[in-house]
Amino acid sequence: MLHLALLFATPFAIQTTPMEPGVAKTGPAETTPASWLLRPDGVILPDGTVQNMDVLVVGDRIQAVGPDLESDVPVLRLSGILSPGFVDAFARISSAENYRRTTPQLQASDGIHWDDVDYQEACWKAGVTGVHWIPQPSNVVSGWGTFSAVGESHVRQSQTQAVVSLHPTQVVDDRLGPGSLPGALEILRAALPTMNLKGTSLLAYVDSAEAVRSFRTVVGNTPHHFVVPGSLASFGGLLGDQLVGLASFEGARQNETMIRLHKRGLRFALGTDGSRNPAGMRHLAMRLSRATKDPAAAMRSLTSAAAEFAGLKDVGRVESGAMADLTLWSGHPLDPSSKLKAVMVGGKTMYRATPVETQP
Amino acid sequence: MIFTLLLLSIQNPVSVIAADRIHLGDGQVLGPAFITLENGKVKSIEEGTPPQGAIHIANAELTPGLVDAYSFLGVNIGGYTVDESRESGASQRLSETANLDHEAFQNAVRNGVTSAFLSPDSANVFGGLAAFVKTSGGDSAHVFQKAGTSARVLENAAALKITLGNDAANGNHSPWGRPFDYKTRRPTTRMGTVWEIRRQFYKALDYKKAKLQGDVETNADLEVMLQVLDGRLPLRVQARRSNDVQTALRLKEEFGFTRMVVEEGTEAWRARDLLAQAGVAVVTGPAYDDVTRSIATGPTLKELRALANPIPVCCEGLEDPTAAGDLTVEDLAAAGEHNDSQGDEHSHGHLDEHTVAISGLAQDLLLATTAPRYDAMLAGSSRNRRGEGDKATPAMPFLLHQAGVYCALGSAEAHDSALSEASLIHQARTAVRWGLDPSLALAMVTSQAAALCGQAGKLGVIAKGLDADLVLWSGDPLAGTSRPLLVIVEGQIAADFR
Repeated sequence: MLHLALLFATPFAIQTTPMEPGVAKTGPAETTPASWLLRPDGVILPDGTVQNMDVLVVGDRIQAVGPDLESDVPVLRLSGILSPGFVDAFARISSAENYRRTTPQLQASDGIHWDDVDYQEACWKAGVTGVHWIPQPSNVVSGWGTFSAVGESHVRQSQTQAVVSLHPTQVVDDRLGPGSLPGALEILRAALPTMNLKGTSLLAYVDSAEAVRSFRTVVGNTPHHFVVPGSLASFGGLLGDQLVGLASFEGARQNETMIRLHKRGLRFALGTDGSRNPAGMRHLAMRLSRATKDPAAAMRSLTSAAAEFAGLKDVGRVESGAMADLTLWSGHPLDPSSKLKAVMVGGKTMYRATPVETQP
Repeated sequence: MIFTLLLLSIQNPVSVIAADRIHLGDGQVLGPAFITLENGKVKSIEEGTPPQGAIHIANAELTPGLVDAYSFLGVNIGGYTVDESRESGASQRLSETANLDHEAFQNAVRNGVTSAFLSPDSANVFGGLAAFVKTSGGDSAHVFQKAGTSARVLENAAALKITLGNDAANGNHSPWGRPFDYKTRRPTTRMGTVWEIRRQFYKALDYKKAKLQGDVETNADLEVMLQVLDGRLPLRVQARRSNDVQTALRLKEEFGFTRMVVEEGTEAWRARDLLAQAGVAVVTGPAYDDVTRSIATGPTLKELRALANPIPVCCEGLEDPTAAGDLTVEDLAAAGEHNDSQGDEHSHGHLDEHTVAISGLAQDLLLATTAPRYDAMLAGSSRNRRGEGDKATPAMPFLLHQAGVYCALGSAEAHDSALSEASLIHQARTAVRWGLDPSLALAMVTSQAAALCGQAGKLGVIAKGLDADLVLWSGDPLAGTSRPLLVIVEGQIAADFR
């Protein structure tokens, strides 16, 4: 079992990738945590900017980030830009439990399909190393989100956020009720005191100004993040400089809407929501970057802001103490011509690009 | 173009505004006078020549900002502001779910309305808590909307709304032959609606007793009903037919409602003496609205006959009926019938050889099929206004006032369309045309309207220290040729048509 860093160093060599995390756990890497000093052409920092830095990885974490680091460990000169692995800020697990209008006892961690190899590979290929899973928001309170890294078969953080929805098309039920937003609000109002948020936050699906305004009156100071499945134009003005989950961007004058919201300080966290299309995240970030002319903000929306959205402190960032979930790109990740070269999750090789051509 | 100018002008504070006549809203009128504004409030009202720099337009008249005592501004009718999954949503607040960014608010502002009572939709027996808003000055949600053009909530519990008549039962059904859904329930009739009201209020009385005796789980809906029973919260009752109005009065007697207001009251004029006796106020619905929602009755066959057979004033040998004085529709109808009965000998002279004369039953059939079908246009509408209030009269504000009923005018959905000829000031003008004293008509859209919305002494009048909500009109506000020149909400220009 070879280490990812070695793959970075020898990108065109044919190696076996430890696709099965269970195998990786029993491998030699576990017993003797490897340490590497990575020296790429540039590193994407938590603020989204590219700096010339070295990254010291010890075991599954980043121990130090800085210019011209000194260390005893082997130094690997990497060609390309080192980026934090992208974090999917919200991805729905496929099953929905909407027999009741509130199901606060459900946990997404119990519904994750750990062996979905195709999905894992799709994530790696898209540069996604972490997924914030959430239950289907098909009732007013649908349960708890959970975070796992792509390729690991365990939960990194359970009970990340409680998922609620005031989106009428998601929660309206002809038989059980609610019939519309006011009914959903009543249900939320009754359910909130029964939920133990324990320093976590709420993740709320909203689709209108009324939903945003009324949600705020109901939850008061409870920390929360909105997810916006459709167009933001009709209510983005209420969101100020909040961090908002975005999975797609639809509707008229969409680029202008993005520009205006970006100017007002609105921050985005990108997720795949129900699409199960991890590659879409990078494309959306590229669009954001082109519209706002702020690639750093677009990078944050894929990495540090997405992690912040899910309430995670040690992923989506290249900084001391963070998990070593890294991706290596041939250029800036938001440059359409850049190619993904390799993916590291928790200090281990998970994926590397198939060589386009073999060098003699 | 006007729209662009309007947007550009928003958020400009006004300091002094003068007018040749200032209607204070309570019936008083000042001669040439000027008002000084400070921090969105009226600082002083002085008669005489305005100082330099004051806004002063010749012949312009100033009124308080109009108060719409019954509106559906931002209320998605038949839609999303009321939850139909249960019949008593008494604690649901319309202020939370109304669309405060709706263009109807801007239409209302352009027509001089600066504050409005938002009434919950009539889809439930208990529609929830009504809101009272300023039509301008709120946070705009839309990214492309100018800041400050959304409505701002002043009161989130302005009244509890209940609905009598057919609206609330509409759509409910018995379980036979259908799949179960939450509309499989009572009430399905007018009687059932009243049963639901009684049931809930008696439940609230029991709840009150239980509360006094010891611990009982808090019930938000019943708490609201207790507030109504204790007179802490006004009760708005939508009642269109006169029998619904009488039902409302019986409920008042039964439960001792002290703050009941009848809303819409299409036929309230027929129960006006009862209303006066009970001391119950009425907020009327629009006398004229756009055609699909008109409560004004369409022409009768009699009237259509009259229109189809105009009196041949041109012909020699006939007395000119217009010389006798003002003609009414009834006169015309009578003349038409007269004409019809004598038939051919009068009309024959007007027909050339290619025209086929249609008369008698054939003519009636033709008239009946080509006349505007108000009923047909309303078919399928959840707001069954036309079907319920077929004894409407635009003279209602006059008749109610004459009987001693406290009254205010409302626009309902009239401001939903920018082109509406039924906006609030048109209601007042119509009322004046149908006999109401102009100063009273103005009071019914300002001070009296504010009083029926729980804003007495706060809005609807121009007075020192109160919010500077003002409308400058190009002439007499009740003249059909006048229009708003400037609409000011809390000292800020909200619409500018100068």
